[in-house]
Amino acid sequence: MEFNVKKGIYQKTNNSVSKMMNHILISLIPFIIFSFYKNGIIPFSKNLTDVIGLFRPLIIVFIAILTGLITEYLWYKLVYKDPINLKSLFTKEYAYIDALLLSLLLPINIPLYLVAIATLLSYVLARLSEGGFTNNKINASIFGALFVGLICNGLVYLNDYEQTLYEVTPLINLCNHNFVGTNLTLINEFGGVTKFILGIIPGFLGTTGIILPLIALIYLIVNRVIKWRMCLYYLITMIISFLIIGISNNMGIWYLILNLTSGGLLFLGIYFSTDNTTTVSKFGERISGLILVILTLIFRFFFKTELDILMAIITLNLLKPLIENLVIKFNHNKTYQILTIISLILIIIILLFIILIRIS
Amino acid sequence: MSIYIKNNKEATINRKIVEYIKPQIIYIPLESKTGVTYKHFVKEGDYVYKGSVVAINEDIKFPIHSSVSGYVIKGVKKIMNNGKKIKCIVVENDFKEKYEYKIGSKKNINKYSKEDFLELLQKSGITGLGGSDYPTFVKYRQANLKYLIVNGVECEPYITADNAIMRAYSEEILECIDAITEIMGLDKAIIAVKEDNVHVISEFNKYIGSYPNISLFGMMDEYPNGWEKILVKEILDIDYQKYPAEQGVIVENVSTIYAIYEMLKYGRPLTERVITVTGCGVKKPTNIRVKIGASMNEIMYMIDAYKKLKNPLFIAGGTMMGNSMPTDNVVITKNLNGVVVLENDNIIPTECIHCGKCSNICPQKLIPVLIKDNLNNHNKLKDLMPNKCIECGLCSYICPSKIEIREFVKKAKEDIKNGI
Repeated sequence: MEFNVKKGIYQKTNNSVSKMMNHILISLIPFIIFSFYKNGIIPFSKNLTDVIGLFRPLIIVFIAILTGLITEYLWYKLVYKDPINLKSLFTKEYAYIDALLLSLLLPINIPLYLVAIATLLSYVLARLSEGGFTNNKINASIFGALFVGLICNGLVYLNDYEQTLYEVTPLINLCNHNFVGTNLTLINEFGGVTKFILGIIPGFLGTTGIILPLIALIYLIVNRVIKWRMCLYYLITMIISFLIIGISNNMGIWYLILNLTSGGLLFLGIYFSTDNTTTVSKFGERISGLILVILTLIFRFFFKTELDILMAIITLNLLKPLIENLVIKFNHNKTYQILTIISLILIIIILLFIILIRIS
Repeated sequence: MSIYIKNNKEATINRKIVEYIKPQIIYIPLESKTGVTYKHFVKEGDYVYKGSVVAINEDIKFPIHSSVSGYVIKGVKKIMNNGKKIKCIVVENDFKEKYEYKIGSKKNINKYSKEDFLELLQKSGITGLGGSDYPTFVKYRQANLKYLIVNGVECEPYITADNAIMRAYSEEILECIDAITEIMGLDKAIIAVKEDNVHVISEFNKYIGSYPNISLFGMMDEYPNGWEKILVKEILDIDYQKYPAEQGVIVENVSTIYAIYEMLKYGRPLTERVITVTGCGVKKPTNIRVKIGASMNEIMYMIDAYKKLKNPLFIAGGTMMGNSMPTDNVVITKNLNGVVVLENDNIIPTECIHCGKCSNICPQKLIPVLIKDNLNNHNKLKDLMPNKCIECGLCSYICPSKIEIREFVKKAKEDIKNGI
């Protein structure tokens, strides 16, 4: 009897890319709802914005996703000359994901046309020109958010209600105080620690707070969607770093909370340090996490910008080929792996030392 | 690293062994899976007895035997379970099962000297029946052997041949292990089985009390927990570079142990083995004792095997390490432990998302995705060491994009081996 031949294995896991993307989408929905609440419902309830303002967070998300889909559709049609249908845009290219993530990194008062431009540019320059989904070298959403942040200096990351209370975001306030202050000047200024934990503080559209990112982290780890080693190495080292800086300057646990919730650190540490633009392998994930710590400390404490984590991640993306060479070279050499990790930790310690001197 | 994968053994795990040991024709390949070639010294028209040596590897003086008595007919090329077409000696079965010399049985199989045991192993043509096809006697020639691990884990999905042997012949297996331990002067022997395999454990527990040097070790039902390296590490907490014998350990498949038992007890060379015939395309999945050299299509026809499938695959071996064959006209070699007939799922792979799951799961700590990405970069490929791949298939299994990553790693292995 004759049979077909198929090379490979004949039993596969139930997991799939579409399941993973669905998990990412599900984990982002609370952030969309929260951004609507924080930047739409709260100002509207205070009569500080109109109906358009109420739905503005959702409009931003919608425009970003729509632009992303249209851009990708046109690119396939005009550049690849291989028309793609709507279903494939969702189920094969996942063209909505980068746009959705980008939208959550924008300021609420961004002109709507700028949302479209930022999405278009990020898709064309960072995603599609590299070959589309999974082929991009730098994260498209980070690229778009950075574009907005760098080009549009006048934009503030405060909604209509927050603008009546504060002048700057907690991160800029921290920078203005040269990273040292009291509970009063750095936390109570923005309503207290609870607001920081809940995320009802100025910042990116939907990335503030601790609770939602932690829930997302647990959800994504349990569903095995993300490179958890990179994420945990990053977050735990950042926590230790902020604790060291805080304790050295007689600042309590609130200092840690302030730093974690500023600049979208938690959100970005979870979602963007773990996509295809970062290195694979256990060793690669560990050193990527530690390198991201170094970059975050540099951009936060030396560049003093709201965009510190975005810059750190883009830099990490650019360093990926170098990191990958290291991973390949040392993959079967445990001693060199340990030495590399120790070296990175030493660099972090030296950086912390320099930071402590600068800010004291 | 090992993970739980669905073992799909329900259909045959409790099935007793049936026999089909009357093939019309047997085929004796003149090359083994490991590339060992044999020089034949029978020709067309010669009469051979069951158990007669029909070819030998001159380098290691390792013979292969006819599994039936009958006349040698014209040689042909036949497909083996690795997909290769190999030249074969062909014997037409006269169904008389005639041995050349009278075969008796030895009462006490412990009473062999080490030299006699090694010589008998060599002459009996016993190879690793777990799939390695490696001449067994070579393992026992190593110096300073201390431990014997008998591998009854059988982590390959669908396959239950070893399980059937253990349930049917637990007493004989223990007797043989005891004999090997005494003959070779080993310190102890451990039988590794799945910890949830209660039937096999209870069978062994009936007799194991009589053998103080033999113990059972329960391995988790994970893949590839039947791999030598994992076994040696889990059971003895020992690491080795290339072969377990470096650290004084022999790992032997349980079906091989049973073959050794028959050799010690009856002086019989290896002529038969148990295979599993299973899958959704098989009417009555079963464990079946067959003649080595028989053709699978004859077996499948005799047991009226096939269900109607739209797009069936015929897999020689299990679903992780087996090979899909273009036909069921495949020779049953010593290392074939089963066939699985399944519907082809026709899954089309998508783009790699660089999630890193393949590198996290690899038991050899390789980075399959980087091997795939650097197939044309031979400097990086050398650093990535694809030659260490054991082809377990976990990288392909875990890939959410359904990419057959193992095939890329196999290609890289081949390129490195050929010095490309």
